[in-house]
Amino acid sequence: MIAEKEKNGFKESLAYIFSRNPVLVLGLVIGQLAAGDTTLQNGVALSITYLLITVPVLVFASAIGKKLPDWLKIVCYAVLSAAMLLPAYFICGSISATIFDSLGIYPALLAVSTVPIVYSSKFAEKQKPSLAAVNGLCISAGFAITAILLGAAREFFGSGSLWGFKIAEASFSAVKLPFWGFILLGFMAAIINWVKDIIKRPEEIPVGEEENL
Amino acid sequence: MTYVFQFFTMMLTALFVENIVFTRSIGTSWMFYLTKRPKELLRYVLLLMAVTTVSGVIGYPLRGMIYNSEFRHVLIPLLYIAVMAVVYVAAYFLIKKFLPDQFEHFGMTLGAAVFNCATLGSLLIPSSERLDLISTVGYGIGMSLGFGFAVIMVGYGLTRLEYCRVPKIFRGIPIALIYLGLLSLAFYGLVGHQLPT
Repeated sequence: MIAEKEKNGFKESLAYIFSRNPVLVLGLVIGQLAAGDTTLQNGVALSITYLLITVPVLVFASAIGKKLPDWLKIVCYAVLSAAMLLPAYFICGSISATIFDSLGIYPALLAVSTVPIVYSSKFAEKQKPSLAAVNGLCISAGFAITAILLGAAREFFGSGSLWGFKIAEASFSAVKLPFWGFILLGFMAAIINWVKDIIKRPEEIPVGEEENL
Repeated sequence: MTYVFQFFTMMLTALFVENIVFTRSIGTSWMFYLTKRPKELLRYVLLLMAVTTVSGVIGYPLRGMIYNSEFRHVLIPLLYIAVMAVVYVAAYFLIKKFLPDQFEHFGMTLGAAVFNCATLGSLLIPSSERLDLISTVGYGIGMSLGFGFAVIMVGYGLTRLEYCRVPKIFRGIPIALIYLGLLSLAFYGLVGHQLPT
């Protein structure tokens, strides 16, 4: 029974990659992507930073969170998130030495985003550390897919390059501005709804009533 | 008089020209949360203003020590989160003791109201632009008011959108983001920017 419950929990975690994508379905961490994710490299750096923040904080919340007094919990999560910026800084530095300069304040804002601060105290504390780790990985994967696709699209249309290599003459630099980030994310969220709608549709239509549609 | 002028200039800049949501796209998730709870808006804006002002004043002399560090991208956020933590703990016990009714309203969301992107963003931007103390405080207050202004603008628009025939796949988050993008573009033009060619 417990093993089955655990298995279901792991299965549900996978939903964070697509059908419950943290950005496009749950509407979290939008600002950092709309403003900071303007190139593929930025997308990868933000994804690494998010992974390094989310997984340790959720595991910490699951293992120790319940034992801490209410007023101290959130302080610990926030400080741990901010401390995880240091390994992220070193790892992302291998992509480009100036990546944190080009991202500005946006990697730091990931440290106080909804998942490490709110999700950790609302959900992760009630989970086993292994499930919390899988949840963190899946949430980060969902974030990474969105960040990488958005960053690649904006770099390609904005400067005709990918990962800094020029591959086309296209140049529409306005696509790198925050408002385009919101609009593109809106269309990506609509695509997710469309795919979910297509997947769900055959189940919803009673057999034999397809002609009436 | 010069300081007063400087304070109000920075406040208006943060409120309109560099609005935290429309120009910087900071605090959007929190903004969407508050659009569904308009009665809580005033309380959150006041809390945001108080935390930003107090943390800005405490963090101002400390941030100067790490400006030139190689690890400033990590140390400055860490410093401000530590300062916010001190302010949060003080607020937690003060509200619990002197305003128990308000404490009940906030409940567990007090932490989320203090530790969010809008608060940290309001502290990191003046720091990254190396503003002086008067400008930092003015900017922080302007950012908090700008956040409230954005919640009202977006909340009103989203309420109107509920009465429109939006295609099924665009309902919910997609239309909200596209609306926010268009509003952001309108702001971009309103304050005199031109699109890059």
